[in-house]
Amino acid sequence: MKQYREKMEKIQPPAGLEETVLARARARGSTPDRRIRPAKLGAVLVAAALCIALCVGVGASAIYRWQSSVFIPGVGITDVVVEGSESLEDMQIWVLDEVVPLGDKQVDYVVLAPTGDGYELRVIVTRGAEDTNENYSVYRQYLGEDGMLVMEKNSYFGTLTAVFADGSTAEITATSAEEDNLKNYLTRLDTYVSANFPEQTSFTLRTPRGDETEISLVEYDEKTHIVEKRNDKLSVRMFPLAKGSRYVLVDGKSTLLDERWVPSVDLVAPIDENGNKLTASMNVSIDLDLDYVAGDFETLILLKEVPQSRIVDCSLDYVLISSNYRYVVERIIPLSEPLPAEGERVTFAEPLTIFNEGGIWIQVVGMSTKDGELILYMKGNRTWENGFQVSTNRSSYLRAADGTYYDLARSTGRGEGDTWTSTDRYRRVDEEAEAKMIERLDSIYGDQYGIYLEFVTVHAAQPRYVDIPKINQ
Amino acid sequence: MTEERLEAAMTRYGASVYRLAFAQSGSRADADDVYQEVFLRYWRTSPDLASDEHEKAWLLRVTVNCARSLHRARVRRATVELIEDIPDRRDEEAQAADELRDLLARLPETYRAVIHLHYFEELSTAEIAKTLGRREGTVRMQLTRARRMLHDRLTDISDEREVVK
Repeated sequence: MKQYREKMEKIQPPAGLEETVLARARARGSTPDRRIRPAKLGAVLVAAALCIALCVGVGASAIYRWQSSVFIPGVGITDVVVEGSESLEDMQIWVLDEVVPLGDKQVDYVVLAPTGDGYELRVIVTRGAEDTNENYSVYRQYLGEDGMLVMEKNSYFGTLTAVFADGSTAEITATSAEEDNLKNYLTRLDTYVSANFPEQTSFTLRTPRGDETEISLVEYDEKTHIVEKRNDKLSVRMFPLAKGSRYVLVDGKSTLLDERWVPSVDLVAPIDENGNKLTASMNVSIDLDLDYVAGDFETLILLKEVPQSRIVDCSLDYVLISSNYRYVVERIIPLSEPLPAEGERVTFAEPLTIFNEGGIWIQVVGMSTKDGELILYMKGNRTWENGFQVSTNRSSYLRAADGTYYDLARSTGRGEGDTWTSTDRYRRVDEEAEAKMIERLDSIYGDQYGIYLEFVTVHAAQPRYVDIPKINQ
Repeated sequence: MTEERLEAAMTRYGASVYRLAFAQSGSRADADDVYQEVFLRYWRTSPDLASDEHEKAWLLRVTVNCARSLHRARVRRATVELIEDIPDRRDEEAQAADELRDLLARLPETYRAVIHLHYFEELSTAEIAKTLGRREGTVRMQLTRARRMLHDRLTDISDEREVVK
């Protein structure tokens, strides 16, 4: 343990971290909290993103007003207006909460401030309940002399330099010099280069430590469809969709929602060797925030982890734009009915509503036991809002009257019209998991018998028909 | 809350918060995020705390909560490791961070805070239980197990070094 102490003593907060907190606190001000409902956060961030895009689109000295519609599950289409002043030279404060009709919760504010190395845009919002699950985000935007644009969450130190063939350079300011984050630099930089220097065939990447590697934008592995560059300093992987095409281009005005701008994009309709569609196995998750390079309204999506070996043809019909918003519920819904005996089924006289928020509700209508499993019969609503199908997933545990814990093991359901029904099967957790649950839940459950609803994920999806080149042509 | 109070809290407890965040997450980048979250929450909520000890306990508890929230967010947002080997000029701190990361990776997430609070912050099991919202018996059990796991790992490292020599 002495070794642990000795090693830990060397760990110190990095230089500048304290100043960053102070700056954020200063920007936040000491006014009473004004909170934004969770579902609204996506809208704000989308607004901010598009606002930044506008900054670039119109040049760095002519921001006046911007308005756009954003989609919010449970709320629908909402207009967001951002107003700025004439020049970026001065600090500007855009007060969104006067113009964003988002109910009783509010955006704090957006600040655009000059910094030593460009401009910084901070979107500051709070959300969630008091003291729990709050989220406080600051996004920064740097405008370098070469027009390089980087959006970072909580960025405050570290730079990465790209050196182009003509000797020009572009610098990225990033969250840290941690190796884990290098992939973020790389995807961003690569996207930037593709968007802004289409004639560029290669560039040198230099890390903050001075490590360099030459990255070719055209090198391409015929077999794997993967561009891969390695040396003893850096490793870069880029996953193309087709020859010469490393990205799928999707309409960037999309109302992609997530508290972190991380929609998942599902590629639909690849065909396997038997001619079967592999819709389920072809999901490609994409961290859009990594690729979000402002400059225009188009969104370049980097594909990764495509299971190429399973695909003989891939005629992609559409890209499913989806977003998930997670309501963190974390509450116990008491069950007044005793657990039924093995093989028995109980139908509640009145459905038990376990969630009802943002126009989305979930109920338990009955329960039974079979083969040692507890089965809850669930019902909920599903809606189509402005072309987005909205549905939910949930995570929950159940504590029986004797203190035994059950975990939601699987759920089978189907939709019909505006509602869905499902059978949720709860299985007694194993010893190790039970210890964890006891540790986590026992203090709040007490002797309570009921369902602990951890979170509800609202999933909004909309197919976008796009022209995507075929794989393996 | 005044800026002076916030600054004073960071000066007094910033390192403790940062190290606990690192112990929980095993990542400097995550520790940076957690550190900011904790002190901004402190700024926003301006808790009314009776003493320095209460202030520290409050900050440590929020640190654990923020680290958990971050962990949950990470779980649903899996990332792919890109870098495998990057030889570099590591300074002493970076090396310590690497070794700790390796150690902490051997521990279940729920044990990390326990071991850190006990052996680094020198909190009693009762204080840890209060900070983490766990039962004292649970903390004692976790401490015993975590100590055994860490000891095994440290012994392994020591053996490996002997072999290298």
